[in-house]
Order: sequence, then structure tokens, then C-alpha cells
Amino acid sequence: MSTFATSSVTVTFTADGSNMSEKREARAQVQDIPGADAFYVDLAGRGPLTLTVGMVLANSTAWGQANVAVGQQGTLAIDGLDTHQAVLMSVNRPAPMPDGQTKATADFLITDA
Amino acid sequence: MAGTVRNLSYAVSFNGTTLTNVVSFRWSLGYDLSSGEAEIVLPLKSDAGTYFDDVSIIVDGSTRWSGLLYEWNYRLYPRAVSMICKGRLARADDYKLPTVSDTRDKGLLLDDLTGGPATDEAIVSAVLDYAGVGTNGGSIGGTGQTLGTIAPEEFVWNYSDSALSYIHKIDAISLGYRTFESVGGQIYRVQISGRPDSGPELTFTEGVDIREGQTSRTVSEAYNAVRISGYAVGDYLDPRVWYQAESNPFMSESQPRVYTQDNPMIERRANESAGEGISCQALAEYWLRELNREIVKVTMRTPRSDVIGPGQVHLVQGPGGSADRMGVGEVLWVQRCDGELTQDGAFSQSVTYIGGGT
Repeated sequence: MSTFATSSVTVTFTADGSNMSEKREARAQVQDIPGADAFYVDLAGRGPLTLTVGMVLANSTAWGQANVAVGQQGTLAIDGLDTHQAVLMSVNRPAPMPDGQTKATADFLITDA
Repeated sequence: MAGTVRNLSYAVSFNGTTLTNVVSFRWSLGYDLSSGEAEIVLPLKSDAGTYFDDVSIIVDGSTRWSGLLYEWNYRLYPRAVSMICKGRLARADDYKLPTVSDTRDKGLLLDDLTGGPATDEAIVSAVLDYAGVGTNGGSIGGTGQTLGTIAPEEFVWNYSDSALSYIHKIDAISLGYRTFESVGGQIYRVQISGRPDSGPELTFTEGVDIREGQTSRTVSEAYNAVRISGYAVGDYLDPRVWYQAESNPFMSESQPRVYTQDNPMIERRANESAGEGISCQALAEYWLRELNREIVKVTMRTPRSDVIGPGQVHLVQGPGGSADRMGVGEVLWVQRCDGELTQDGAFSQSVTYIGGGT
């Protein structure tokens, strides 16, 4: 079981390892010089780590809790992975399955890595 | 491919404290600006200082802009707080002579300001001192002409004039000497006249280091004759008026376009006229050089991080040194420079030039 616990709500879900990705981008701005092939690259550090997780939510109540957690900071604990402080940036889901479960996707912004 | 990869260092100092949360900044310096300007964007207000405390922007270890905090601007979303800053010359613009309610004086005489007639550079220095504005390492140059011997009453610093507006009055008759702020908050007074005759301090070339650029060349703002008139009291024998005309390929002397200026601070007719002070002739010769020419205005943006300030001389050219897409391949005065670090980390400088003539 995995959890995302904020000060107001705890979302409990099963992480879907086949639908999970981590991403971090460089902050590098390219300024092109017209009339030739010269260019300047300003290195400006790197952006924060983002984590996209497929989550299986047990029922519509859990989906509702995930919605409440959007835009909040909390503690993200996914199975055996390191625990992180994170902000839940977005959740989205297709239609629920016949048994009431929801296969949703959540985007987290990791704030401590 | 010729890429330049760099990792410039930036720092903003506020009241001696280095701010660690700067999102972006921009600054402007120009000899056509009354004072320098800067805006520094932070996510939250800094408690390191308050109004009129020192603010400096440092790029790669050199102070590019220095001035004082004048204003806080708050933004709702994305949440941000901007520090609106002005250069120290703004303090001269704020300063007015303390008025005495029962006096009939219009203001301060040169006798009280400089101890009597003085050169334009001495007057400007005294006014800056009066307003409590130091040059911060800059220098105050001038024509060397002594002013206020023939028409001392015209050099009264009026109570209604700020220190900076009085300086601008002195600059207006000083043959191209201008008082302005430059890099690092230094205040200079130098002569900017016609096409620069010194070698370039920096060279910018299309296809190498110019990101955006445009040039205008025109004679529509040109005048080929100048009429200058000055102090009119007691000048029956030697009227303080000077008219001078020159032809150019587009205007003849017989059908001149005449620029006129009347200023009672001009105290002599010709350079050979008796006494001291700026002459109508000298000012006419200055204005004719300024106005009887093809005016060249160039604006370009460069990613280069060199120290650029107003009054510098740059060579702007096409590939190989000749004029190409931008139609310019000559030395020009830096009229204004705007430096900028954007939120996404790109540093660039926009430079406005003026030149033309000989």
C-alpha cells in the first residue's frame, strides 16, 4: 500500500509500477544568433523532480480524497521507495472499473530532492 | 556549430545583504534618462532593508547597476514582489532648495553656490554636493568656460527647480556635456557630440553576437542652419545672436531649415567677444554638428555579458566589417543600455545607439 498524507487528508492507493515515471529538466536557455549558426546557452540550474504515478484507488471515496489533496503538500510513501515531501499537482482518471476501483494517474512535484 | 555555453553568476545586494531568492531582474542606464532604473523580482518581500537603502545588481562579479529602493510592487499570481529602484541621480531630482517664506529671492545665486562665477563643471559638482549626491567614483567634466560673469542673475538656482533640473539647465548650454548615471551607479558628465571620434570599446557583429537588431537612417530630422540667441541685456553694440548655415546634399544654404534656440544663460555673441561665458557661436557650431547630418539610430540585443554603459563607443557591423542586413558598419555612441535576466535564466543586453555625421 502507498499513501499521500497531507495535513487534511490521507490518500491510500496501490501504485501501478507499469505506469510510473520520474522527470527532471535542465534550466538552459538558448539564444540563437540569426544570420549564422552561433548560439548562446545560459545554464541556469535544474528544475524540480516530478513524479508521475499510476494509482489504483479502491472506490469513489478514495478518488474524492485524492481530489481534496490536489494542490497540497504532504508525505508521499510508495511501497519500498524513499519517502518524499511532495505537492500533488494533478490527478486524472478514466471511467471507474465495474468493481468501483479507479485507475488514476497522479503528478507529484517532489520538494525535498 | 558555434555555441557558447556559460554559467554567469548573479547577485543582488540589498542594504548590504545578498538576496538569495531573486527570480529575475532588469536595469536601464542612459544619458537620455534622468536617472538609472531597475526592477528586481522576488517571490517574497525582503526584510533586509527599506526605502532608499542601497541596491546593487552584480553580474559575473562586476556591479552593473547601483541605486536605491523607491517602491515595492506586489503581484497576486504568480505571487511576486518587485523592488522598483532608481539611481542616485533620482535623489537630485527629488531635492529642492529649502524655501524661506519671508525672502524675496528667487533662489540661490552663484555667489552662494560656488562663491561667484564658476565653470559649468564646478557648478554641476556644487549642485550635486548640495543635494548630497556623490559621483560614486565617476567624474564631472565640462567646457572649462566660466559662467555667470555677464548675466549672473540668469544662473540663479530657482526654488522651483530640483537640483537635477538645474543641472539640466547648465547642461543645455554646455556644448554637449551631459550629466548621467553609468555602470555601477557612477555619475559622469562627459561630452557626447556628433559621431564618436575615438576607437570602439566593444565590437558587435551580425551573425556572431547580435540576437536582434534594427537601424534607421534619416535626414528628416536634420537642420542645416542654426540661429542661437542669448542674454539680451546691454548687447546693443554686440547683439548676442549667431546664425550659421551649411549646405548638405539634400538642403541648400539658400533654402535652409533653421534650428533656433534662445537661452539667456548664453552670455557672449562670438568666441572673440569680450568677457567670459558660453558664446552663441560656440553653441551654434555644436548644434550644427549635431543637426546637419544623417542621423543613425541602432537598437540591438546581444547575449554578451560585457560591461556596457551610456557614453561608450561601440562598433556595430555586418560580417567581415561592412554593413549588411542591419545597414550599419560604423562606430556609434551608446545612448542607452538595458540589461535583463529573465525568469528562465537567459541574460541579454539591449543597446540603443546614436551616430551619423562626421
